[in-house]
This record gives sequence, structure tokens and C-alpha cells, in this order.
Amino acid sequence: MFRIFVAINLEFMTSAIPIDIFKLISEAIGWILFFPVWWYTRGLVIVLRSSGQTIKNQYINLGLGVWLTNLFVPMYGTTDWAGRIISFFVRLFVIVVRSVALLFWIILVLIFLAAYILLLPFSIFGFAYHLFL
Amino acid sequence: MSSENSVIINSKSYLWLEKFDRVSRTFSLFKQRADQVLTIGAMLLGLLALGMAVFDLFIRGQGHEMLTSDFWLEPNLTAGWFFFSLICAEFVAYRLSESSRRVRHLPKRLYKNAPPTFGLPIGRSENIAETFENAARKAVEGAFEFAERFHHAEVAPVHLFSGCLEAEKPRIVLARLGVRFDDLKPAIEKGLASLAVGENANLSTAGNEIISQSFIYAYEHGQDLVSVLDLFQKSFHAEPLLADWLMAKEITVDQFDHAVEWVRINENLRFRYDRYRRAALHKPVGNMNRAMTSVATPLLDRVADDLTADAVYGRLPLLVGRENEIREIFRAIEGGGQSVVLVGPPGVGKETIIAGIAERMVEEDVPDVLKDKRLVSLSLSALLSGANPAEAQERLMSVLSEVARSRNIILVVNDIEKITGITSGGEHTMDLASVLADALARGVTWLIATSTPIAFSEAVESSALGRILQKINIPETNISDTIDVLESKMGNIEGQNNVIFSFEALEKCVTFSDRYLHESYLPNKAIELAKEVALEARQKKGANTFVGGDDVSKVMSEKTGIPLNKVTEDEKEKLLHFEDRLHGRVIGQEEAVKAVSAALRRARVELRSGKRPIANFLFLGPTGVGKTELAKSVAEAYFGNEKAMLRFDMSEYQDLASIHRLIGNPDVKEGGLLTEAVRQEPFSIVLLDELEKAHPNILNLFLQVMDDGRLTDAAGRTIDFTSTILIATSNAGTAFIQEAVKQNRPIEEIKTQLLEQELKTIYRPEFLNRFDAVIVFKPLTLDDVRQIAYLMIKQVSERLEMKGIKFIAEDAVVEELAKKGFDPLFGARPLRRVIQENVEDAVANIMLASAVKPRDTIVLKAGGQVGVEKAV
Repeated sequence: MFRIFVAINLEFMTSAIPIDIFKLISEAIGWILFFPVWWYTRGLVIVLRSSGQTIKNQYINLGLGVWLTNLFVPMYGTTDWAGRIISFFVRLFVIVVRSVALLFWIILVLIFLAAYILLLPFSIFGFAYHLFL
Repeated sequence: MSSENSVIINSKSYLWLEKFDRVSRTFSLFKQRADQVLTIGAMLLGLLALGMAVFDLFIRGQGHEMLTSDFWLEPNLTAGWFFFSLICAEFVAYRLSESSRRVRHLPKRLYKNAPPTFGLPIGRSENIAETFENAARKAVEGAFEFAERFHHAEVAPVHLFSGCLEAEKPRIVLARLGVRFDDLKPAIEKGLASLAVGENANLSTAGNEIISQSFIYAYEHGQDLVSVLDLFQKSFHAEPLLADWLMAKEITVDQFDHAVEWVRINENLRFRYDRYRRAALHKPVGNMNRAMTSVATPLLDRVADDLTADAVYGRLPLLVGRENEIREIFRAIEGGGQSVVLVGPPGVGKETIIAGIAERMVEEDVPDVLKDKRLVSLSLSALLSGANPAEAQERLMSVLSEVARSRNIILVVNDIEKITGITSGGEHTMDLASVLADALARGVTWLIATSTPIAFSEAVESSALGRILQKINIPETNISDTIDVLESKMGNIEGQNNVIFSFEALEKCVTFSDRYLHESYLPNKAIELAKEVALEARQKKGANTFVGGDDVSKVMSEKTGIPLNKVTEDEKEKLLHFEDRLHGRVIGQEEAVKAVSAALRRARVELRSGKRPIANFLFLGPTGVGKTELAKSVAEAYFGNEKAMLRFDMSEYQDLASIHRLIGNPDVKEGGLLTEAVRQEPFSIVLLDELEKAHPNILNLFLQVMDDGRLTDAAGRTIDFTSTILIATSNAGTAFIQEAVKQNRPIEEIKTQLLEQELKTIYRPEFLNRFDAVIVFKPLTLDDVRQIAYLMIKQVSERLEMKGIKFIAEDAVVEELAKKGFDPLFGARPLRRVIQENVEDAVANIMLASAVKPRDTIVLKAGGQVGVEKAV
């Protein structure tokens, strides 16, 4: 095994410590080779998670769950039948509007996700195309 | 590393898999550097490539080409640079993400999970090292460095402890304990010196144990990562030398743990606050709920405060602890569908608990029935002000109907007892309490009310409300919980007054207020005391000062008059030679003087049990032998003056009715003579003269005082007797004592017979048992009387001295006086009369007859002759 000795200053003494330089280099090469694998494994997981979180946050922000569970509950305490009917339709309308807003967010996130998936091959291809073709 | 030490949680094993020996450490250091070089390299390369592309496009003036499809479709170098920079950016993102991935969060603790166990690893083990926060990893690394520096064979607890000291949080702990880092060195060096020497240090079994323990601690407390504090605390516990060393600094292991907890609590508060602020974004603050089902409540809004809105704006105090009480409240509301009343003495934190509920409602961390609701505190004064009962009733009805229609309101009424007893008319009309009770019974809303135990039993329990509300007791917090509460409040107190509390000061705030302030309750009284101490310290010592235990003692001493600060040199002398000082006034009676002095010494160094008076003495003996005189001289010698004595002639308390004079009359709710006196001067002597004359039931009163150190007066206040010295004197058995002394029987024997036979008829045995010492005063001998005669002559001379006249009595005349005044039956009493007649009268006559001028000397000669020596 090839080793180099490096001098390390440990406050009060200088001592020679063997460092396996081959191992170090092979690790560094490993990092570079692992890059594309990471992109579609751990990296993808991170992006998926944050996408899910974004959608969840928007769902809470828009209060869609609260509106859905209260669909048949009259608004503003108007419990007569006219109030109930009006409430139902108003709630339905609000739910539709809010759903559209949520859908907008979902589409945005999906676009971002697709962009992530395509980004690496796209950039490598672009680089190779312009330089080697 | 032995493999049996793996921690198993949910059939997954966790082991410390990181190597920290010098080679691995250096290697990982280089690896880190290599990573940095690679990342920064890629970043620079990417920037360079981007720069080239931008340069190509814009500087050469071809920027518009970017928008043409030819630019992208025709192979060209500029677009190549652009794509290359993109790849570099992706690579940098990859490396950054990977290097921050090293921390792995602890497994989430769930209630249904079995507790962690130790055992052989199952399959592939997870690395505990990855769950350590950065500072904790550094600490372990530091421990290895220490071991190598001293060429130790193993990394022991003391290495880990020293490793932790590099981090900030453990240093804060030490600072709170008032310990300097340099003070620690000797103990650590001593610990290090005893370790085996070797090369290539490995983690010792004990070291491994510490790491596993801190991992388990962090897991069980639901932490995200293992904190350096966990490691610090566990390594401290594992090394007895460190505990010994702290003991030498008068710091117990318990105090160390509490100080660690203090830093943890502050960290948690910050974390909780951040999470809470995020949750608060979703809570509406108006009177409309998220579901838009509620209606406007204009009247309610005028007479009530919206606690959930206050909580959203962060105006309420954060609740610490009280998990059980909150769970009980939720159980009552959710399970039984019942409204609750929190019953506890003022100052135990009933309103803080309600604030805690409001905060949980903001986070929606509550039972379903409380979700998306407002917690609204009805202000009774606003509701009732300027209204006669009928109007008040009407207002309450309208408020309740608003609540009913709105359906998103949980009512809070503080001091619910104020609502009872307000009726709108004659005897059988409805009062406010029944209006409210009726609404609650119809299920309009839930009510969370508060009350004190006395008010609850007097006014609420028997009313209509009492039947509907479920009572939840909120007891006073115990010492340990109060310390936690005060630790959580301390940040504010310190910030407001610009001072820093040591742990000793904080702890004393709690223990002193618990022990000496009996009219209010924990934790409030401890918080109030801490505020007072902080203010005092800033005023006396200026801003940015360190508040120590002595500062608390000083404030407390000023409040109660009880000396609490450390015993000074001066006082030490005084205490050690206390017998001599007492003998300056009391002649003979060695046993009595010794017993009293010893009791005072015990009290001052806090060796006594804190639950009883400092000492309970029964002085027995004939009249005139110095029983009262001893009590007086203790008051003078120790408490500063003769008047620091609360004297009660028990002959005035011969009938049962006189008990009201002692402890107050329950009809008028006033304190009595005894209770008021002790309340105002808790540090004093209580002298009960001629105890045998008191009514036997009054003696029973003192049974409790002697046993518990407390007495409840007619107004219901608990009076603290733990700082008093209780002295009872009694002439009972005098005839027997005199007879026995005449027969020259030893004093021990006399005492035994007294207790076993003579006193049995007067005092009950359990009463006599409660005294720390029953001291028999011997009848005075002629010799004693002679000495007393000298003392009395000295007193006469002192009085004359004030007029500038000297007074000398010859020895012969003193002898004459002593003989004349000696009476075995009446002790020194006749002597006083003799001195009066033979000395004071003679002096008075000569002063009137011949002009005695200042600086003259009056001489008393044998035979009662009085002469004057004129000053030259």
C-alpha cells in the first residue's frame, strides 16, 4: 500500500500520521461517478419530498380540508332551510375555486419535478452535442 | 467495541460505527478537505464556463443570437460552455446535499413502541454517530484527542467529559453553577492520571455505555439529534471523581442535573417558539373560524378577551409542564362532554394552564371538539359593571345566546365564585350561576372556570354550577417542577433587569420561598422572589452582574428577618461561645444553657429538620431560678434585643374561649395574638410562661406547632413556626424538685421521676414527648445567689453610671445581701426585694439628702452604711 506521511500539528507536538492516498483518490473518483446515480436516487427523493410538502402546505393554507368537512354546515349560523341551501352552494363554489388554486400549485410542482428529471440528461446531452458534434 | 452493546429500538440495532483514532480522524479530515476542493473547484469551473458564455454572447455583441433556434441547434462552443456550467451547478448541488446528509435524525418515539433494549445487533446496524449533532461529534473527537495526547489505552468517561467542555452549551452549564473552567482542571487531571497507558486509544466499555445512554436519552425525550448536553450529563454521571469534585464546591449531582436541564429548557423554548409561530400562521384571529360557520358576537367581544387571538400574537406566557392536568381537562371535555373548574390556590398557575390550552388550540393540537374554536375569557367585571342584578342577568343571557349561535366559542371564566349569589330578586329567583349552569346543561358550549379551594367549597360547590362542573385540582408545583418553571421564566427576568442568575440563586429562590413564604403558592412566589432579587441586584450592583445565592439570602432576610446568609466570622465566634454570653446573665443552670446554645447552633448551620420549630424546650423548676431570665438572655444575645421575645402568660388562657385570643376568632376572620405576632416576626422566641395554668385544649394547639411547625389561624392563613424557638416554663412539680434536691438526689434521677410520675397528672405524655428537651432548673444555692447579687449590684451601678455617678459595693455587704436574700423556696426573687430595700432605697435617700454630683462615688459599706466620696 502506498502511503504518504503528513505532518499534523496537534497543539503541542508534530507527529507523522500515515494517510492512504490511494484510498483518498479512489473515494474522490467514487463521488464523481456516483453523481448521476445520486441524481435519480437520493436527489430525487429529496425533490419528491419537498414537492409533497409544498402541496401539503398549500392544502393547509387554502383550508380545503376545513371547507370539505363543513360542506353541509350552514355558514354564519343561518340554520333556516334557505340559508342551508345558499350555504351549500356558496361552499361548493368556494371549494371549486380553492381546488383550482390547489390544482395550479400541483401543476407547478409537477412541472418542476419534470424539469428536475430531465435536467441532467439534457445538460449532458447539450454539452456533448455542442462540443463534440 | 463489544457488539453486545448495540441499542435495539423497534428491532433495529444502533451502534457507534465511527472510528475516531488518529489515523481515521486525519483521514476524514483530508476527505473533508478533498470534498471541499472538489466542490469549490466545480463551482469555480461552472462560474468560469458561465463567464465564457456570457462573454461570448454579450461582450462580442451576439446576445440576440441566444433567442434564435440556430444558436441552440447549431453546435457551437458558447452554448457548450453554457451547458457545462449547468452540469457544474448540478454537481455542486449534489455535493452540498451529500455533505449535509451526514446527520441522520433519531428514530421517532411512539407511545406504542417498546422501550429500547441492549443486545446483539440484528442485521446491519445503523450508525449512532450520525445522530449526533455537530458539537457532540466534535466532543467525541476531542475525547479521542485527549486520550492520545496523554497516551491512554482507552477513551474513558473523563475524556468524553473534557471533550464536551470545548462546546458552548456545557460551558453555559458550568457558568450557571458558578464554576470556572480552570477550577475543573485539577479534578480532570486527577482522573486522567489514574488511567492505563497504551497506544491507539479505543472507546472503553464505559465510554461506549455513555454514548448509548445519551442516544437512548435523546430518543426517549423525542429529540431530533443527540445533543452535546446529553453526552456531557451522561459522562458526568459515569465518572464519580467529577461528582466528588463538585461536592467539594458544594454542588450536588442533583443541582448539576437541574443546571443541564436549564440549558435544555431554554433550547426547547426557542425550538417550540419557532414551531409555534409557524402553526400560528393558520389560526384566524377574528371571530370568524376557518369553516366560516360562526356568527358575529358584538356583545361578547365587548365583555371578553379572545385568548386564542392573544396566543397567536404571542401575548400569553408559554406553559411548562402540567401535562397531567391538561390531559385531565381534555379528558373531561372530550370524554365526558363536561365543563371543568380548575381549583387551586392563587399563584399555582391556573391561568397559565388556560394560556397553555389556548396555545395548543392555535397549534390545533387538541381533541376534535376543540379544533377550529376560539377560547374566550369572559370578564366578570366588564359583564357586571354598572348593572343591577336583573340587567346583569340579561347581559349574561345575551352573551350566552351569542355563544350558542356562534358555536365556535369555548368560554373561560376566572374566579367563577364571583358569579354566584347575584340574584335578580327575591329568594326563589334565578341567580347568575344558574343561568350559566342552565346554558351549560343545554350543551351550548364548554366552560373552563377557575376558583380557589376555599371559594369553591363555600360558594361554587353547593350552587347549580357545582353540579355541572367537573372539579380538577391544580396542586402547588413541587420543588423540582418549580425549578423547571423558573428556569423557563428566567430568560425574561434576566433580560428585563440585565442580570445573570447562577443556578444557586435560582434554586434558593425556590427553596426559600417554599420554606419561608407561606401566604402565597409555588410557582408564583418563587417567580416573584426571583424578580425582586433581580431588581435588587441591579440596583445595588449595577447592570450585567451575576446574581449569586447570597443575593437571594439577603433579600429574603430583609423580608422575613431570619438570618439566611452564610455565617460570618463574627457570628461564628458568637455562636461558639454562646454559653459564656448566656452566663453573663444566668447564673448556674449549666444544663439549660448548654441545651439552648446547642439548639441555636444547629439551627444556624441548617442541621435541623426544616419542618419543626428550631427547638422546643420545657423549663421546669421552682420560681425565681432563672427560667424566664434564660429566655430573655437568649433573645438579647442572639436575636439582638430582649424584646425579640413573644411572651404569653398562660395564666391568661385558663378557659377554652381564650383560644380565640391566641389564634383569632373565626367569626371575624382576624388573626389572634399568637398567630399575628409570629406572622410578623417569624424569627423570634415564643415564651409560654406558666404553661400548667393553660386550659388543656390550648395545650393541644401547641402539639401541632411543636410537631409540624405550623398553625392555621382563624382567617385560614398558615403561620410558620419553623423559625421560632418555643420555650415553655412551668412550676409544676416544684415541691417535688425542692424536696429531692434537699435529699441530694442526682438531677437525672429527679428528672426521670418528674417525667414518669409527677408531670403525668398535668401534661399528657404525647405532649411531653414533643419537647426536644425537658430541662430541670435546680434550686439556687447560696453561692449562686451571691453571684446573682453581684450581677444585680452591677445593674444598679450601670444605672447610676448613666447619671455620671460611680457606685462601689464592698464584698462584705454583697455577702450580707446574698444571705438576706437567699431563700431555697423562692430562688432569687427575694434577693431583688432585698437589693431594692437595702441598696436602691439607701442610694436614693443619699442622693436626695446630700448633693451627689456627677463624677462622685457612692460607696456601700458593710452594715448597710452608705458614703459619698466627692470627686476632686
